[in-house]
Order: sequence, then C-alpha cells, then structure tokens
Amino acid sequence: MTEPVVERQVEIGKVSGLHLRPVSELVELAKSFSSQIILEKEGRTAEADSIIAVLSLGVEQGCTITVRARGSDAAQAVEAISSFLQEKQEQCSDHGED
Amino acid sequence: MEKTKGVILRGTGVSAGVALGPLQYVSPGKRSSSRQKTPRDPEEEKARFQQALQAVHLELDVLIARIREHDREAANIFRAYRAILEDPAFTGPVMKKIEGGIPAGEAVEKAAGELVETFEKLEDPYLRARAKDIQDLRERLLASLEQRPGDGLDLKPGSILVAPELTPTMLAGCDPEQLAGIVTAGGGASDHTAILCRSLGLPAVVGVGPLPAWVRKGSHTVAVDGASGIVIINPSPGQQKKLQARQSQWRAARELVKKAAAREGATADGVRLRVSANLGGDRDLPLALSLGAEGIGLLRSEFLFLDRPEAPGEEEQYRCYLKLARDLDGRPLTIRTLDVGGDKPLNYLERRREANPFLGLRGIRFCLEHEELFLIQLRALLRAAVQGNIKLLLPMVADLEELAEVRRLMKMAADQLRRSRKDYNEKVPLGIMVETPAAALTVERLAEQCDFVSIGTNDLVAYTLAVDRTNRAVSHLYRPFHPAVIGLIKKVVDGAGERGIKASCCGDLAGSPAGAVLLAGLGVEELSMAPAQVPWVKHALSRVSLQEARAWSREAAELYGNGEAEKFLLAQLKARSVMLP
Repeated sequence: MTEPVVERQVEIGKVSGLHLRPVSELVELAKSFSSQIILEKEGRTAEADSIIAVLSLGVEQGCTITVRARGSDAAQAVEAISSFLQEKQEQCSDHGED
Repeated sequence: MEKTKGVILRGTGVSAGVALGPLQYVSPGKRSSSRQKTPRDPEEEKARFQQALQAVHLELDVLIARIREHDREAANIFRAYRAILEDPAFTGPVMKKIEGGIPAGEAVEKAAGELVETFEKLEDPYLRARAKDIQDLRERLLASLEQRPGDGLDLKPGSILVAPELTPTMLAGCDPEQLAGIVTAGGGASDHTAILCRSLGLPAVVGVGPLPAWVRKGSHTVAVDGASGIVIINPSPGQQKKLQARQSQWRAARELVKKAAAREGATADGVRLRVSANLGGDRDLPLALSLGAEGIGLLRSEFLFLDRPEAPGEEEQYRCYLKLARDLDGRPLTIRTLDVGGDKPLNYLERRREANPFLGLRGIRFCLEHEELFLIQLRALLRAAVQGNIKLLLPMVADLEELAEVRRLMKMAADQLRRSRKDYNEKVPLGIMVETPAAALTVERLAEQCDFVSIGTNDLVAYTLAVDRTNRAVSHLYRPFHPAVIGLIKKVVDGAGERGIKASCCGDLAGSPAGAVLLAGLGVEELSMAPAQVPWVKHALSRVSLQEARAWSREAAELYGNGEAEKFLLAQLKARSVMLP
C-alpha cells in the first residue's frame, strides 16, 4: 500500500525571506510530522527537516516553492508548512524611522 | 612584579551598567592544531565527537532557556545553531571523515569549512553572512573536543571576561552566576554577543582595541562601564570611587526618570509639551503608557499591511484603530496612513524595482497610486474617528496637489460610508509629515490646507544633507544637529505658526534629551518618540525653562562644526544636572 503524497505550491510571503531565524522554526515544525517533507524550488529540492538543506536552497521572498509530503500525516504536514510559509511574521526591529 | 595600574581602554558600550571585578582572560581559538601523531581509533573519535555535540547542545539549551524571555530574536538564532548540530547534513560528513581515519577535530574543521563555503556561495547577503555563525559553532565544537581554557572556566564570583573576541557559544559555556561583565578587543554593537549581554543585563564593552599582553598573566581587577564604553584595568582607589559613584548615579537616574514618567511633560517654568510615543504595532501600547506616554504621536500603520498574503480589510483596520483609541482613554492617537515604498513591498501588489527607492514611489505618492487600497484605509479611519480621539497623518507630502487629492479621496470615502449607512467623522483632523526640504520651504502654503504638521526629522535630515544613514561610507555625515536642519525645522515651526498650526516632531531627534530641548526651544509643541525615551525626555524638559531652551537653540543653530551643536546642548544639560540615558 502506497503512502499518500500531498503537494502544494506556496508563494513565500514573509518580507525577510527564509533567514536563519525562522528556518529553525520551519525545521522544528517539519520534524514534528512523521511524513517526509520536501521543499522544491526551480528543480532543486531540500528535505525540510535539514536546516542546512533548507538554507542552501536559498529561498527568498516572493518566490514560489512546492511543498511535498509523503506519509500518513502528509495532508496535515503540507497544510502546516504552507501556512507557516505564508504566515504573518513578527516585525523586524525598527530602525527608528519616522 | 609591579602591577600596571589604572590602564584605561575605550570602546563601544553595548550593554549599560557598571561592574568591577576580577579579570578573567579568555583565549580565542588559538588551537593547538591537533595533528595527532598517533593515529586514533575511529570508534573512539566518533564517541568524542558525539560527546562534544551533546555538550554544545546542552549549552545551547541553557542559553536558549535563559534568554527566551528577554529576546526572542536572539533565542531564535541559537535555536538555529542547535538545529544545525542536529542536522545530518552537518554531522553526516563529519562522521564519514572520522570513519575515513581523520581525527575528530580535523573532521569538524573540514566539514564546517565545506559548509562555510556553501553558505558563502549563496545569493542572499544575509545568508552569506551567516557563514560566520557556522564558524562560531565550529569553534565551540572544537573547544569542547579539546577541553580548551575558555571552556568551563573556573570563574571567580563576579568575574569580568576579557577576550580578543567572545562568541555567543563561548559565553554560553560560562556560569552566569559568576559573570559580572564583558570586555572584548573586537566586536560591534549588533553582534550576537552584544544582543546576548543586553538580554542578560551584563555590562559589556566591545571594540576596545588590542589588549595589553600582560593581562593574560597574573591577577588583575577590571572595571567596566557599559554605557560610556570605558574600561579600567587595575583601577586606582580614586578611579574605583568614581566608578562606584557612576554606578549609583546610574541607578539614581533610573529612579528619577521613573518618577518623571509619571508627571506631565513640561519645561521647568511650566510650559506644557506633550510627550508622546511612536508605535509600530498594537502590542506596545501598555508599555508606552506605563512609561508615561501622553498620547501616540505616530502610529505606523504599516504593521497591518506587511507580511501577509492579502490586504487588510476595512473592518479589520477599523477594529484595530478603534481598540487602540479606546485603550488610550482620550489621549490623542495620530495614525499615519500607509507609508511603504520600494524597500517595503507588499506581497499582494505588483512589485516594481526602483533604482532609487528613497526618491521613488513612497509615502503619499504610493497611496495616491493605489487608490482602492487607500480608500479602504481612509474608510476605516473615518469610522474609527467617531469614537476615538484620532488624527490622520499623511507621510511625505510635498505639494498642495497631493493634499487636494487626499481631500478628494476622503470625500469619496465619506460618500461610500454614507451609502452603506456607516457612521464616520468627516471633521477628523488631517496633518502632514514634513520630511522633505520642499515641504519645509513651502510649509506656509501647505499649512493653509491642513490641521497640523509633524516634522519627520529622520528623513528630513537624509534628504537635506543627501546622506543615507545606513551607508557606512557616509553615515558619519548624517547630522540631525546640522545648522541646515535646525534652520529648516525653525522654518516649519514658524511657517505653520503663522497659519495658527501646531508643529510636532516624531523623528529620533525628539527622543534624545538634547534634541528634545532643542526642538522645544524652536517652538515644537509635541514630541513623539520610542516609548523607552519618554521618561528621559520628560526629565530633561523639566530641568530647563523655555527661555533657556530658546536661547540655546539660537546659539546651537550657529554652530557649524561637526558635532559642536550637540556638544553645546549636552554641556548645557549637564550643567542643569540632567541625567542622560
């Protein structure tokens, strides 16, 4: 019996892209699912539970990536990861602008 | 051997506070390059590596737990470090190398080196800079592997760490109970270590320059003043006394200033000035009020628009503005309409690449270009203004046509609301932010068409002196106390005054005691600043009469030398016993 594979295209909504900070949260989130989760950008892939792989993927704001999960909780995994990527990120500290 | 006494080092204070204690020197990564002569057993090396991994992991756990409450951003950085340690993409290559017969230390160096290379190849400059974080982690692992000093140091209570360089993980290895302060030869204010010290409340001075060689031997005491950036090794009794005085002064200043927060903003001779806060979101209002803010002089409404897949609707905005106004309990709330441009793109609008975003489609221009979006905000504001003491502030207005356009759109918004039978306040006060030389020089005409003006000194300084504050090559030329800037501010205040309009200021200048007093002297009637600055500004104003402030502003306006005007003002403040943050 094959495990379900769920896939979704997501546009990266955060202003600051995937930097070292939020990536750790993404990875922790990915690890919480039993499914194997892959992020794909322009033909290159990265396992979502490897912080180094995700960082090396070089994801930036505005780019579209594919979230793909395989496993018993694939649907929840894709949902959670997609929401995370599109979620409102807390503001970066102000530089004292007007 | 005679101890060298009273040696003064000067650096950048990155974490305020005064500390005096035994000097503990920490060696940096001067590793005995572990070229083992005797080949080691790969299984043994693997075990050593695992141990080092665990040790560093634990240190990070402790670190994260400690700072999570104070500084989420710093905590996230260390969570990322921890994730790297757990990542097979890192540990895998190390293990492989060890299995291939390479000692653990060398394996870590090589694997980390390869990772660093990968990071340095990335396009994103922020990510490229993170290669430094990998190096930090590598050092930490190597230190753990080799049990180097700087690792589980036997710290005497109240020790002050002195090192050429201190990385966050080195800091993590120390017992926080025993640490009283930090001094480093290198480093800067926005380094992770500095952030960490601030979170931990540890006085810290960085960038003091090369440390005298003799500090590594013998025992010394050292004093650190994290505010002024001064470090004294083996301070004389006289110097120690001064430092202790500084310490008590610092504590007293905080107390005094707390009291000032509770009073109204006014000069020594009782002339009222409203001291308000700038907010970038809806979460810091309680903090601002607790620090004595008498209103919100600038609500940057961008927080509602950024970092989301679609624009905020009228209802959502309305409820947010209304809640803020209600929580302010009658104090004025000045909401600046959406101020975005090339550097703060919105995900749901087409992005344009601008060659000069600073001179491009931003401020009011942006909103006039996106009418539909602007109308939604205007409707929400007009509705909220019924029940709340709300004022509207338009960013970067430079000519009358822009104002006329806004009025036209406000009328349209009002019509739309009337048709849907929603209550609105058409008499909501409308003001403009004066941020360009053009606006400053023609303020009389602009003032005829609005209800108040707010001087945005941050951008005004930049446009007037043609300096990008974030450009290191020229940032020293960014001078808010430049006579040209003072002259323009005066012009705005006088010009608006001729039309019976009040001028306020919401830039960084308003939040510094010297700047606040200058502005008061120039006739500005409301100052708005970061919440933390409110008590300090109230305190400074309370020590100076308006007459004095006026005289000082006149004099400061004539001081052309770099930094002279500010120095002059600070000297006057010191003479009035004004405590400075």
